[in-house]
Amino acid sequence: MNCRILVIDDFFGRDVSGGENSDRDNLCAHFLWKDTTGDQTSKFSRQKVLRPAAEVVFNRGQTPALAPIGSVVENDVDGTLAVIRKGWHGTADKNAVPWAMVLLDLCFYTGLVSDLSNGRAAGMPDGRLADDDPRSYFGLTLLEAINGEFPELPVFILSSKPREDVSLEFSRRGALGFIARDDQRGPDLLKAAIWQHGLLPDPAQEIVGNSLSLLLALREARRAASHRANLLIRGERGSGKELLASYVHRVGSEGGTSTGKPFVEVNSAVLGTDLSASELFGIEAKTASGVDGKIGLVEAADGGDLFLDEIADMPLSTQATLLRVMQDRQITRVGARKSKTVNVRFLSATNVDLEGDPRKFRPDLLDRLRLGGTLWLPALRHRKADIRLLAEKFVRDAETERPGTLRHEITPDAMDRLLEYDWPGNIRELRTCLFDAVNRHPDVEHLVPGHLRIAEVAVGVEPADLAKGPQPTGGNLQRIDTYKDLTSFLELQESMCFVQSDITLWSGRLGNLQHAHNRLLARYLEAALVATKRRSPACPEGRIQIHPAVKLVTGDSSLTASKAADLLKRLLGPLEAELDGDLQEALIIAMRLRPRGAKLSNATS
Amino acid sequence: MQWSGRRAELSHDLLKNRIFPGIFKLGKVLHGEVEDSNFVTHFAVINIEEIERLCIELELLSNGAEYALSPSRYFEIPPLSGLDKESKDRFAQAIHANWVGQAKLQVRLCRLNESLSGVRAITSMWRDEAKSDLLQVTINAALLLQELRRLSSEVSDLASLPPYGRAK
Repeated sequence: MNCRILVIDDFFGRDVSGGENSDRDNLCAHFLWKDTTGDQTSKFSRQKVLRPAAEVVFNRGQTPALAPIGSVVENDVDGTLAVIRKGWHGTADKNAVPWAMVLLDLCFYTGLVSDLSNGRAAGMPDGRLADDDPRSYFGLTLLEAINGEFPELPVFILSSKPREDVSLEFSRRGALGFIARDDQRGPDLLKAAIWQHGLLPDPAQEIVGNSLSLLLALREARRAASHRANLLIRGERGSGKELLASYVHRVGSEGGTSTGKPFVEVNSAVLGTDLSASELFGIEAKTASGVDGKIGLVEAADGGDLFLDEIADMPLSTQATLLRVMQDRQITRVGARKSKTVNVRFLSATNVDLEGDPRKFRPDLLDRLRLGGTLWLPALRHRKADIRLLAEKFVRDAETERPGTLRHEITPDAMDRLLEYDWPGNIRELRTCLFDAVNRHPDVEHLVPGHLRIAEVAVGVEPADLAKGPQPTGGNLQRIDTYKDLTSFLELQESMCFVQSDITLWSGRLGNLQHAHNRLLARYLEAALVATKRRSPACPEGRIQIHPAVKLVTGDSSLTASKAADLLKRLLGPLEAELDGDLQEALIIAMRLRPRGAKLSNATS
Repeated sequence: MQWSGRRAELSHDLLKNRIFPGIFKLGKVLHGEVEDSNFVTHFAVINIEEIERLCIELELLSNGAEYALSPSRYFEIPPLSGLDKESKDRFAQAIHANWVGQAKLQVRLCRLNESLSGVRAITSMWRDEAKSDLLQVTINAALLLQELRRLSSEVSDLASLPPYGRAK
């Protein structure tokens, strides 16, 4: 249960000494709430809600909260706002779960607590004439104040007063809806309201964090997930777009009805070969001698979701094919005569500007991909409140992956260091940093700032870049400009290790690994092409030579020119669409040298 | 306290804030979603007493409704109070008789009293029957909720009568 609600209500929020307030217990039982107010009323409660739907804190919205006979009860805007502030982002206790929602009463009775009024309900005052006038309900005044200071905080009216008296006013002042307190369906209505409007963390904790920007993104994702239209997920590299796609799939619709439905994940770059049709649509058995039938990715995702990661890397030819599938909702296996209707929702993700160049990405496909909307995942520097939780998780994960490691505590000054940095590589960079720290220091119990290679891990990022943070577009490349950068990069590579403790981690990610490997080798090759350029007075900037460059990268001095060209084609072929400069020229030379040669696919060397 | 204020108090404070949540809790306890070992017994005494008190109060309200809600009361306040006594009495009587007929007051009051009888029948059944029979308690709770909803609706209906209320 990760849902914390604030209920502002004079009757149910009042405190009563000696546990005489069974009214609050009744309300909590009806909505299946666990009362965590901590006042006398909640301490005296004898009931136990077995599977609470939410943790609830009650507030009277008035002063004093505990009003004996003879005291005068007055409404209290400032005090109520202060209570909200204590459980809100940026001002809350660091361990507190922020409010998912506020439930607000309309009519608050004020005045003297007399023998008579106390006899009817302990701690309740006589009431003044204006209290019960819909035009001057204190709940509406409070609503306006809450909306003014906390515009992102969802507020619902929970009242037993007639809705029609205030429906225009509560909407105008920012409440999202109205639940009648005497409605037996109230718990179901509230559950739906929280799902739709509440600020809830991921209950499975796969996406870690409670920051406002993350919770708003998750709320958008839940809203978008309730229909089956395609969604485009955008966010910087390393921000966890694939986890958001998985979240969309899991939540499916309210109540998580996507359970058991397929979620197929693929890196779009691997669809850039002449095998993409069979990968996407499958292949009919006995299409060619020795060919077994195979189900394609789209068919495998039938009834569920197909997640196309790095959609910008999808070559134009595959884009056209995919567009047809989206339009027709039909696929035909390679070699088959009959087509099959499929029901697939396409979730795609990118960190680049797809609108930038229609020659690289088809606008009509883009429109189809974001038919159901675009989800924006915040960068880590915009959700720094989550760094603490993420850091703890990554340290525990790193310890688990490396048996025998001591349990590490992150010291406050090390945490400050993590919080100060802007993390241009986002969560992936934070994870790498903490895994690196644990792997290099398995025998320490405290991680101190000296254990964190933050600047070094951010290879080649200049101080000026750190200040402004990463650019939203421009790809994944970071530059290695200095000897220090290169040294750090090599050290980082050498310290990395893949532990086989959990093979499921690799499930569906081999495509990503292959693609990442290709791109890394391509960058090495680019450096080698520059390093081995033949310079002359006629051409001072130099001409590239693919044979010595490939030999340098592979370390194989006996490699022939034709084999070097084949190797280069296998390496750069799948990346053809994104190549430019020396790498593009190198591929053209290799194709000219070996027009037939090895296939461009299977790009592993 | 005026009729409308008393009605609002009974409807809001007693029926909707206390009695309905109490019955809802009983439902959750009976379904095993909430544990509160003494609640079924507590409900049979405290909550049933509260409902019986509500019935008494609503009966008083019902008895006073004809006078309290009649437009003839406009003759008690300016400017109509300034008319001579004979004219006042004649007009007030005529307007009252017309209103009683138009508003079908007797039909409404009759329905309200039927609802009160329905609620009372359940509460007396509750007192008479074995309180340990959870099946019977569950049935009674459902019946009670149904009758109280009917009662709540009849009270609102009465309060909505013109000229003071807003006709539905």
